[in-house]
Amino acid sequence: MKRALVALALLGGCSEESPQSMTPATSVASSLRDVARASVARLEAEVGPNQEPASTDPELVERVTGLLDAIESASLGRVAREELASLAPASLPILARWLDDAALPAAQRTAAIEALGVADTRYGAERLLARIEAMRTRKNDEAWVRAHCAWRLGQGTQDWIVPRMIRQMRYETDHETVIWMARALARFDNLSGLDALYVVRRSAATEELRASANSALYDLAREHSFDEPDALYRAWFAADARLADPPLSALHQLEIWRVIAGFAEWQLRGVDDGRFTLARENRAATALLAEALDDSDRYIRTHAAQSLGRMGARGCSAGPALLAALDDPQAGIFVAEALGGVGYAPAEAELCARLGAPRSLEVRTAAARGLAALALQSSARALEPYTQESTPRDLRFAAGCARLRCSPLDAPLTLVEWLLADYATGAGETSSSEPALRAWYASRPDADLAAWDAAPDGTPSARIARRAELLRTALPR
Amino acid sequence: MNARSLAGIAVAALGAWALVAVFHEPAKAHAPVAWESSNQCAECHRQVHDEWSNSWHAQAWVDEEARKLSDNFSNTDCIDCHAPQPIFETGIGNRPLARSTRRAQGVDCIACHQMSDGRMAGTLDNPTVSCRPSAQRELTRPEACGGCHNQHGTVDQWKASRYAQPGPGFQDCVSCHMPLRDPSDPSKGRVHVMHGGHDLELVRSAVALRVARDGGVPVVEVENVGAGHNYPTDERSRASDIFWRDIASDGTRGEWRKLHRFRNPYRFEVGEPNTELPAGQTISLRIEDPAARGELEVALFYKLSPYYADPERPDPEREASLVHSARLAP
Repeated sequence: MKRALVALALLGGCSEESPQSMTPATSVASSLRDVARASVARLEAEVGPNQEPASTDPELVERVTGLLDAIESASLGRVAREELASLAPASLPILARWLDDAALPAAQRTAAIEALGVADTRYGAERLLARIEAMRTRKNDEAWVRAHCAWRLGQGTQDWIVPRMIRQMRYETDHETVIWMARALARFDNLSGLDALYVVRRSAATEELRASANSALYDLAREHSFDEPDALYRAWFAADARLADPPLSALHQLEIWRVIAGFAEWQLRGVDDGRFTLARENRAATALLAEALDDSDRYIRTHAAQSLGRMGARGCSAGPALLAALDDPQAGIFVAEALGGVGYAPAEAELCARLGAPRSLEVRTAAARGLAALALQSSARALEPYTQESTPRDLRFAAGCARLRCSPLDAPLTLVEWLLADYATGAGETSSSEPALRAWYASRPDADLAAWDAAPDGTPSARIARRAELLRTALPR
Repeated sequence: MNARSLAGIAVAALGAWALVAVFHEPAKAHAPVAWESSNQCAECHRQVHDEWSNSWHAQAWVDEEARKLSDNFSNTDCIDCHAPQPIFETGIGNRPLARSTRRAQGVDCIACHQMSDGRMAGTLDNPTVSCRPSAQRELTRPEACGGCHNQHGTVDQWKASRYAQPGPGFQDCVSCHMPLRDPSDPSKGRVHVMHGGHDLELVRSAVALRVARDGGVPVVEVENVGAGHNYPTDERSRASDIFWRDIASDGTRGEWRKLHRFRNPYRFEVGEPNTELPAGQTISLRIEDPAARGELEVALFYKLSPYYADPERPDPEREASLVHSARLAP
């Protein structure tokens, strides 16, 4: 309740540039509850089980079989397809069995996929999606079947497929399937597949696939009223208000809550998949992740915060809830970084307040990391004292990186040199110092950012060596 | 000695006790210390710190291979195990979580020993020294290692092995990977190098290679004789390959040909089977190739990263470490 009030009070803070002070809860323990599992149970009760439709009528089985046999007929094929679709949902289990039967002719299996898709039911979509996911355990799975299933799912209205399809993107190896999955996700206003389309356009084995990915990129840009894909890509990561953010169906919410509840699992593999999935979810998922910050399980709170942080600007509406959880004794350090990740500017004052003693070094360092990601020029003065040599090294490093990102133009050269020396070894926290040094480099009048950005090829150490050289040449002699 | 003398001694002893009791200051509990670097531990535990410094736990963050696979830890998922919060804080047996500080020190003294109240888990209680050690049996239990090392099933593999059975043959993680410095004097503690797959001698002691002919056909056997878990285990990047090559009558050796690979694939290598060799088990493989009828050399190699530069013509002598080899007469 307390968090809800705070959230209401600060809603809209994502677009604010000026920092404001507020006092977060000093202890969150009393408000913790079993949020994730309770939400899964509530939604499961609400939507009911995904039951297989009854299909035991021998007459129906005979009719469906006959129609599938007629699919390949030039004269009867179209009628047979339409008739098949009209027999749903009772026909769906029969069609699902045909979908999985690799011994059947391709045309019949394609017809089964189409009929399952046209039915646009939860059961049909589940079978199509499960068929795509099966490649994670089945070697040499039929890629064309997966591609066709993905295409079909993109024609329907079953938005709950989004989180599972995002997860599948992590594993899918067939470029044609990837293209149709990205299109299917975009159908539900989820543009996380743009990344994969760029990869396919750049590196697919055939010109046809590369062209297909390029077409998909331009189609998606047009469908979302953008002139070209790069602008759409930037808009997605910037949570551009021009992009639709449809409400989540109860089934979609259920899938998200299942992922969140899975954060409590012991095995990291599922947790990694969960963080990957939710970080790429639509803006509407933010409210659920914000709610999960109240869960009694520390792993759920921690990974919910991490997922929000990785959502970037799309997670910004969770800023108030994150701020209220900043002093969570177990998840607080992840919350501090997430506040920066989502770009919640009103958190600046509270993060600055946590830079100093008597907070633990862990908290102070995490606060500096959060400020680095926020990158507000107004934080520079507060960070300055912690960049001095007398500061514990970890805090000095994090505050130094933050100082550079917040106000690179007037950053002390001694600080730049110190961070560069650490960066050049390649053994420090280069994922923190690299963006900080890039910000400083970009502020130089003679910066060659094309050369900087051209460096990613090769091993990390080769990339670091090339960028370190660019930085050295930019330092005043 | 008469009664008077005895009484005198008793009075003197009582007086001495009273003096000690009145004037001896009891040992004071040491004030809590903020532990911000494992280098602080070196002040009193130089030997242990030096051992750890040369361990792969200390390299968890700086190791080139780990940095390459994680893109310099831009993949932040990797930090949970490569720079974990103290395992006593997250809970023994629980999954570790990433920390914000000391990341360059990897899996350090504080990660394994610091308790949530600031004391250090150890083998004895002593509140009077700065680290205020507290005897914690969990410290040496497999569950302490399992938070990270059972993510790929190593502790479960051990539990399924004969080494986990109570009795004289019982051996756990520390028995092999943190042996006592002096088996006759446990008070001298355990070696903190925590050697594993990077120690070729330890790898050699884990497996035996045998070759023989069955009706002229070479038969190669590899037995997991010494590892209390699968061979190889844990890191998905680890692999061990059996190669063979013919030896001509003039001693010229042919090209290496791969016979078998022991490995648990990455999650992205869909459908690839896990071919690790469980503790105590033996695999037997026949070389049906007619080229194997003459004199042969069979070798078992170990690789820290799974791929060869040229998968079609792998060069194990250059890209892997030789574990065992054997020659087989025609």
